[in-house]
Amino acid sequence: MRIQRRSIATLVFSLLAVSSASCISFDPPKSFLVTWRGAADLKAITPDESKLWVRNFPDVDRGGLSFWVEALKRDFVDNRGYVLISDAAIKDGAGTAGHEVLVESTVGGRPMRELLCVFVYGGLFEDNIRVVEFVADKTAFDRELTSVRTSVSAMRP
Amino acid sequence: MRQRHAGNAVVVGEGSSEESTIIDATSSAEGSRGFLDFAFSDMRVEGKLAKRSESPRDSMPGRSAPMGNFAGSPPMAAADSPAPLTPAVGPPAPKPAETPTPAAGPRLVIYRGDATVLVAAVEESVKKLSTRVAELTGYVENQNGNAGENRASVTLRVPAERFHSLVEELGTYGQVTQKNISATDVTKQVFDVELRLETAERSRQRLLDLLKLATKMEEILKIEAEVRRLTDEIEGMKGELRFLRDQVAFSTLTVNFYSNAPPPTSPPHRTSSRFGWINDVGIDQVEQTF
Repeated sequence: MRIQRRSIATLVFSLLAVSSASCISFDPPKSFLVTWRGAADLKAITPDESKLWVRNFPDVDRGGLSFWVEALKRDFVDNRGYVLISDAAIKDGAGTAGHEVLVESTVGGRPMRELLCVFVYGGLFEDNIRVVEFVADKTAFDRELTSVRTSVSAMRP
Repeated sequence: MRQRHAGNAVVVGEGSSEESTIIDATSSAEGSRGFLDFAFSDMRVEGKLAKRSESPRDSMPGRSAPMGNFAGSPPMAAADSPAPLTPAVGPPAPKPAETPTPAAGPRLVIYRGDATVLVAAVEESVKKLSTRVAELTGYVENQNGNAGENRASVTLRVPAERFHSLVEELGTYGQVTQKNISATDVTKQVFDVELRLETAERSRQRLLDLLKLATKMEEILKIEAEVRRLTDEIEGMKGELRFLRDQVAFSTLTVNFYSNAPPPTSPPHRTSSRFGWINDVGIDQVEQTF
């Protein structure tokens, strides 16, 4: 009987562990409404439609953080014509090294900005690239930037 | 005999504009209105237009002389004699009416033109032409173009005396593949408007004189309404004259430049990244697929 209880507890614990691991551990700022929380991504939006999108991408090639940041910046600047405003090293809530890139572009005549944060989490068979994107028009972007950065710095792998 | 309406007046004449007689159409048509009834029948055009009206035929024997000096006529005297509906002018002309033409003077011609020019570089040609027009004390009225299609259209206004030389110069820009020039003689039109204007101004002045003498409220209101109507008419004619004179003074030329050369610059072609996940991130992707 005792063994059966232990087995059930272990099973429940395992399920909880799996379910918690399957969701992205990210809390957006309070001004954002979470509209989707899935195993590989999370979407949140403000009333004025500033968008926050957290996604995981598998990396079987294990390119590593610096490689992906360099590839990303080149594509943004050279291919898309984004204006690179700043880029800097950052850390998440677990102390994992990451990198943020701040760019600007014009969409439909409006100046839009994006904060894109990249983290690379190692895995058994493949790495996991975590990308946090915050996109808004320039005015709204400046208003929410600090709170988004705070959320990113508290994010868990 | 010819009869034509000019604003509130009827201009009657034989053949050309000389011997024109002005009859106030309003007073003629409403001959029974009493105080407002007045006529300029058989009066001559005076002032600057009188010079244009003069003709050797005026001095021919047997021709009826002008009846009076409008400016010198006492207002009430005219008001006392209701105007007839049909002009009571001199003896009817036996010959058919000729086309009326203003008296001798410089012809008033509006020149317009358009040309299509094949050039090596559209943008440079537009700049060069704009500079040249400024040198000729003209100006660019409208300009539009499409760099992608290597085409541009420029509408210019240049002083009339320099219009033809500028058209000739277009050959130095490239190959003129099409050219259209038109000239519209508006001498008669300007003359007519001036004539109508002067008549209307005289009528208005006369009404103002009558207004001073009017005592009954009904009469005053009628005269004031007529003065307002005439004032509007006068302003309209002045505007028409201004427009015509501007069109005469400055000719309009539209030049269409085009080039067979490929566009100077092509927009950057975005190539996708070799890395799939990078293609999925970015401002455009978030805005479109969020």
